Amino acid sequence: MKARQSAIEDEQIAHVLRRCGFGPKPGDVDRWRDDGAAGLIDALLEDDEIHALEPDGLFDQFGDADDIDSEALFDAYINPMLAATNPLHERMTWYWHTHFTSSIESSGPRFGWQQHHLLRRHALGNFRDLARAISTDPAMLLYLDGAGSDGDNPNENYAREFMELFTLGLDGGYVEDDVRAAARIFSGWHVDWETAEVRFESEKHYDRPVAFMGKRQRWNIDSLIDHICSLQACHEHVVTRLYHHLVGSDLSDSRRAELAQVFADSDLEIKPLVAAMIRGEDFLEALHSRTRQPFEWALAAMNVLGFRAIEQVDLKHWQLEQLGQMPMRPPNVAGWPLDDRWSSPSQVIARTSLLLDWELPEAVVNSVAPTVHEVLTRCGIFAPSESTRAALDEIEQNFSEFDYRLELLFVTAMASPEFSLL
Amino acid sequence: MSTFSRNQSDERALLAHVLNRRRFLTLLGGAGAAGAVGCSSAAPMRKANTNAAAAATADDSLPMSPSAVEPQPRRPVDPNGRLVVIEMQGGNDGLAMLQPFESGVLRDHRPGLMSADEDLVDAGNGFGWHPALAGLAGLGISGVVGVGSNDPDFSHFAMEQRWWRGDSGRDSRARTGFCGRVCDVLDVGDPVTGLSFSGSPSPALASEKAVTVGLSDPGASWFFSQDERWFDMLRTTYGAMSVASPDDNPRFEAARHGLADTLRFAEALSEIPQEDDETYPWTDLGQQLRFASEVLDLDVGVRVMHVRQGGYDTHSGQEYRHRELMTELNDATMAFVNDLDARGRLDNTTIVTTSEFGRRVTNNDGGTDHGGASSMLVSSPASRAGGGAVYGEAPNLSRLDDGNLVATARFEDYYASIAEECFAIDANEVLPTGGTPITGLI
Repeated sequence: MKARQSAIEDEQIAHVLRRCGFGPKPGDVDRWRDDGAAGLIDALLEDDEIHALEPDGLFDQFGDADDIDSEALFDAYINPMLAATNPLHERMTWYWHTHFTSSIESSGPRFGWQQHHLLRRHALGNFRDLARAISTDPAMLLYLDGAGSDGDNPNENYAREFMELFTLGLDGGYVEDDVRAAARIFSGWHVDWETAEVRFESEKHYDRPVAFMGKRQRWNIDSLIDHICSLQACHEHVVTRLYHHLVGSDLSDSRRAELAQVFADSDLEIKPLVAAMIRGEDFLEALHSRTRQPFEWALAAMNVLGFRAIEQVDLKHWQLEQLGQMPMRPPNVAGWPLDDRWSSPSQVIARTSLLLDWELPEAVVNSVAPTVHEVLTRCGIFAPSESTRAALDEIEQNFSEFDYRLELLFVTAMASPEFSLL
Repeated sequence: MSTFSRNQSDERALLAHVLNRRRFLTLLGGAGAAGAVGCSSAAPMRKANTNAAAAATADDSLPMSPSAVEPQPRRPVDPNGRLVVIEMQGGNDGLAMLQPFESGVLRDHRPGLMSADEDLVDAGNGFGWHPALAGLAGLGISGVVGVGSNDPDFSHFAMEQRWWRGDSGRDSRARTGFCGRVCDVLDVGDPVTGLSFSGSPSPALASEKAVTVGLSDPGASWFFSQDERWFDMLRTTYGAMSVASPDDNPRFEAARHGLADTLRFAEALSEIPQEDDETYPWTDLGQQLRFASEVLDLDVGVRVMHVRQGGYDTHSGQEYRHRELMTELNDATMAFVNDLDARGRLDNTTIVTTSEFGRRVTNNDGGTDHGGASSMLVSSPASRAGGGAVYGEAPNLSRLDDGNLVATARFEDYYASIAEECFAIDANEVLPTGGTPITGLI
C-alpha cells in the first residue's frame, strides 16, 4: 500500500466534497491530495461552468407536456447532480430548492421542471434577482397561491412565506398588517396553463398606496422585493439558512453578522457569500456536524457504488419518498428538516432496505477487495470512529462466506454514523 | 386546472415493493411470501341523518353547550389506553366540518363553502357534521368547538410547532412533543411506545426516554428478523456501531442511538402481516390507519400512534377540496373503527384530530386563508357508547379578531382531556402550561 498523508487531511478533502457537492466519488480524494482541502475549495470556487440543461429538452423528449412520466422527470433531475461536472453549482441548485420550495403536487411536472431551470440559472448568481424571478415563476405562483390572487381580496399565502421563510424570518421585524399589505402588492399575476405563460393583469393588481413596514406609497413587486432585500434582517436570515445547510447549526452571532456584511457588501451576490462560508475555519472544523439528508445520502451511496446515471440503479422516485425526501415534493413550504430525525430507526430501516435492494455492480465487485480498508476508502471514510472500525473488523475476521462479505461490508459502512452524517 | 399527484399505479408499485423486497433473502436461500396486491373502493356511506337542530341562538352567535368543570379524581395511570391522533395538515376549516344550524351569517360570509342545513348530520347542541362525515357520525363521534390559542399566529409552522409541543404560547422552546411526553409517562421499556407512519417520527412524538419511531410501513424492517448468518452478522455490526466512541459529537450520539433503537424494536414489528386489506380505502390516511390497526392488534407496547392527512390548506378550490378531504377522513376512519371493533381492540382506543388552525371566516375568491380557532373531532369510548355530542363554547361571530374566530379554549384543554381521560395522566405532567379537561368530551 502506498504511503498516505494523514487520515485527517484526507477526511477534510472528503468533507469538502460532501458539503460542496454530493461526493466524494471514488478516486476524488486521491486526486486532490496534493492540493489539499484549501486548494480544492479554490478550484470549486473558480469553476464558472453552469450545467444549464435545455429547458424544453424533456418535453421534446416526451411530447405532450401534460403527460410526463414522473420517473423520467426524476431521472432528468437527478442525473446532472450525480454527474456533478461542477459540484458546487449542483449543491447550490439543490440548496435553493430547499430554500424556495415548491411542489409539483401543485404545479404539475412541467412548471416544476421550468422552476428547476430557474434555480440552475440563479444558483450562484444574485439573491435579489433570484427572489424576484421566483416570485413570478409559475410553479411558485401555483404552489403558494399567488396565481390569480386579486388585489381587492388577496391571497396571503405567498406574502407570508416569502417574508417568513424566504427572506426576513419570523422575527424579521414585520407584523401581521405587513403580510396583508405585501399580499396586495404581490397580487395580479396569472398562470396560463394552456400557453404555460405568466401574465400580469393590472386590473387584478392593487395599485393604490399601501403601508408596508412603515412606508406608505404605491408599491409594486420590484420595489417591494428591493426593499425587503435591502434589510439587514433579510441578509441575516439568508446567511443563517445557508449556513445551516453548508456548515451546521452552530452559528455564532458574530459570525452571522460578519457573513451578513459580506453578503450586503457584494450587493447580494451569492458566490462571495458561499466563498466566505467555506473558506472559514468553522467550515473545516464542522466535520460530521449535521445529518446527511436522505437525498444527499442516496446520491452519495450511488456515487460510492459507481452509478453514473439513475438508469443504472434500481432507485425509483417513490423509494426516495419512503426515505422521506423526494425532490420537487417537499413535505411543506419550510422544506426538509436538517436535524437528528434523519438518524432515527425509521431512517436506519429505510436506508438499509434500499441498500438491500441494490445489486453490487460488476465493476465494484471486480475492483474493490472485501477488506475494511478498501470499503472505507471507497465510502470516503478516512478517520473512522472506534466502534465503526470494530464493526467492520468483525466482518473481515469472522465472516468467511467470501461471496457476500463485500455486500455486508458496504451495507455496514453506508449505515455507519460516519456515512449517515455530512 | 390539472393537479399532479401520485397515481394509483405508483401506490400499487409501492405496495408491491413492500411485498417483494425479498431478492436478497431469496438469494440466500430464504423466502418471504408475497401476498396479492389489490385495491378497494371506498366504503359505502350511510344515508345522512338530517335531524333538525334542536336549538340555535341568535344568528351572529354560535350556540353554547353546558360545560361545568368538575374536579377529576386522581387515579393510577392507565396503561391500557390507546390513542390515535389524526393530524389534519394545513389548517382544517372547522366551520365547514362542524357547522352550526341556521347560521345565515356564515352563509353570507362564505358563499359556497357551507352545507345546506338539510344536508348536515345532527351532532347535537345545534351543530351538524359535514354531510361527508355521515358514516363516521353514525358510529358515534363528538366535537369540540373554539379550540386554539389565546395568542394565535397564522404561520403553519409556528402553529404546527405549538400543537406538536403542546404549548399554545408564542415562546415555547420545548424539545419534546405532547404525544412524546405521554409516551414518556407510559414508557415501561417496551421496544416502541409511539409510532407514526412517515420517513421520520412526527415531532409530536419527540420524547425524552420512550422510543418513538416513524416507519414508512410495518414490514419495512423484515431484514432484522431473518435467521440466516448474513443477517445475523448485520445485526452484530449494527450493534457494534451503536456503542459510543471517544470524541462522539452529538450527531454521532444520535446516530448511534438510532442504530440501537432500531435493533430493539425491528424484530417486534416484523411479525405484522402484510396482506392487503380491502376493507380500507386506498388513500394515504386509509393505509396509515390499516397499519395502525395491525400494530395495535400485535400489542408490542405501542400506545400512541400519530397519522397525518395532508391537503387542508385550502386557499383555493375549497368547495370541492374540502368535501374530498372530509370523505377521505370519513372512509378511512370508519374502516379503522370497524376493524378495531372486529379485532376486539376498540374499547380502550380513542381517536382524535388536530389541526394547526382553522380558516378565515370570510372567504377569499375560491377558498379561505389561515384562520384562528377551530373545531376538533373525537371518537372515544364515551362518544361511541352515547352517540356523541358537541362540547366547548362556540366563538362569537360578531366578535372576530381581524376576521378570525377567537379561541374559547386553549388546545391544552383539549390535550388535557386526552391525557386525563384516555390514560389517567395528570394534565400538568404532560403540559408545560397546564390544561383543564373539557368535561365529558372523552
